[in-house]
Amino acid sequence: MAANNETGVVQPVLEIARAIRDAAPGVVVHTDAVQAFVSREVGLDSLGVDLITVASHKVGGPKGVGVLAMRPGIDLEPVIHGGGQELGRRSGTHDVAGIVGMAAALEAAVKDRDRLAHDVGQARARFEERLLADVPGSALTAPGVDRLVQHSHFRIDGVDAETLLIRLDRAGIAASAGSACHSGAMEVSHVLAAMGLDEGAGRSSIRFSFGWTTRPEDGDAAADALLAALEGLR
Amino acid sequence: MRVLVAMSGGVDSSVAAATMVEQGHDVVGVTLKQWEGPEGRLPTAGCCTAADAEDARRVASRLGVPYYVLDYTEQFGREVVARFGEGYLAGRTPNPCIECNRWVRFGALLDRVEDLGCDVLVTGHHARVDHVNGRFRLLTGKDRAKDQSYVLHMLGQPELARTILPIGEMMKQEVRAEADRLGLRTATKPDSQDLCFVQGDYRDFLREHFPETARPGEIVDADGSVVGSHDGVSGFTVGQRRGLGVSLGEPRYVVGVDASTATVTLGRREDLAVEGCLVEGVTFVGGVAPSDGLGVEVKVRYRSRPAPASLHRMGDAWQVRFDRPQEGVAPGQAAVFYLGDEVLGGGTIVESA
Repeated sequence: MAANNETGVVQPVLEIARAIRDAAPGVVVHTDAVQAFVSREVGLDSLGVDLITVASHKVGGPKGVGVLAMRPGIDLEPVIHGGGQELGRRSGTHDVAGIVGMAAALEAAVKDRDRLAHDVGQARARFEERLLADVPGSALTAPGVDRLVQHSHFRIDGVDAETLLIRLDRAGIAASAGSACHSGAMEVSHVLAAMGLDEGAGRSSIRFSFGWTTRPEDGDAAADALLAALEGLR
Repeated sequence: MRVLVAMSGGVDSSVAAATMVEQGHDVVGVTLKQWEGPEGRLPTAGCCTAADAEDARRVASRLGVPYYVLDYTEQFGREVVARFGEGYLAGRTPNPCIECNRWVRFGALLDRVEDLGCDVLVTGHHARVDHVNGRFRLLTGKDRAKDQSYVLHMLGQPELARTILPIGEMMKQEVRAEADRLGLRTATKPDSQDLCFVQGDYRDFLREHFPETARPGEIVDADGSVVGSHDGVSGFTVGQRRGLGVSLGEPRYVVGVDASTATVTLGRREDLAVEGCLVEGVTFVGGVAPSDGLGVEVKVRYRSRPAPASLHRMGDAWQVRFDRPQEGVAPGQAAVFYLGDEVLGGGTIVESA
């Protein structure tokens, strides 16, 4: 992943790809840039990789369609065989409406990206400033590292994330913690476990995401909603 | 009122939620995720499956109420499944539904009702709560054939004050008719029968999760003679006749299970009847112990007929003396005391005598 989908932490893909090539020349390197390309430029050269995946729905395009960008000369075994569409890489009739919709969404997103990065960055800064100042026991999951602007991942000691999510949802704020299992129950994030957080910290962790409709002042509103949802909890 | 409805995906809790909506309450539906198999697999049979959660979700959606799945796997594993295994290891016949109500539904979940923005907990149990002379009473469900008051006997005043059981006022066919009238997809869903966390035979579950229960031993007749062998006392409960694996020419019943020696003792039907039983961990719904020697009716199993008996205090425990000897009194099951349709309280049978 070019940036983690839960914490938003930007990974040193260029260095990783370089290290891989030093150790094993000829290895093909792919990165999932689905989160990263929303708010920053990604490219085969800038990331030093051979393949990049991005998804349409992350920038408001139709679901079910995405892009696999690849350097020429890479021979991939197709997942879907058949009629040989898309240069034999993915057989099946093209979803033309989806593809055109995605192209339009990507074009608009790239044009709007600097504005988004600025506004969302401001919103998150305002949100996190209030969070850390006004919520005792709050801490960012990955402070002081390069993060995508659209994620704010944090924990609040002693607060059950599942309960907090429901209170936020009732107040019209859709936030997230971990991932949902088949039944819809929240499960503690494997990402946090891999980062060395214990289960208690994992169960107190929550993620706010911001998007292209977010304006700087929405960060204050998000903080207000969080403080209200925490009222009487703990 | 703001009410939190525990929805299993069955018809009773679906109609409980619908009833609260019709009465104008602000309803939030929740399903408890209680158990998952190895590698995170969800049960595919019984209740608490992903399909049941989907049923509950769609009922909530039809009713237009918010719905969430809450993760209680940790509490359920610790308080219900572990106790289930420990009970069988000790040669008892545990009732996990009671422990689930005690520790999970009316324990951990009830404790969270306010945090989830609600005032009371609603479930689809066939039992009733009323409020008379400043006290809450727990009563049998109107449909006596479906009565579930036995598995709720541990509820006290603090719990009942925050609990509504709307289904207790209805016959099962009324519940189904109501679900049908409202177009709920669960209207014709069959009643759940088995333990929600066990698929198939509970003995296979025990062998898989509590391999220590598979300790072979002897089956002895009432006179002490060895008449067979078994591969674990967990396959036997007092009063059992079928599946004993021995043939003695006339019917034999399990009259005793001793986990310490892995011995199962058989007897004739007349050996099954006991005069009374000792009950521990007794709670009373009203919070006050009754006078010694009080005449009550006692249920010793979920599906047993209430038997007239008297209650006698024995230190911290209570002795139940049946008016007429009773069969199938198994340690580990609950003894629940009734006065007519009112639940007085109950506890866990530790020995019969």
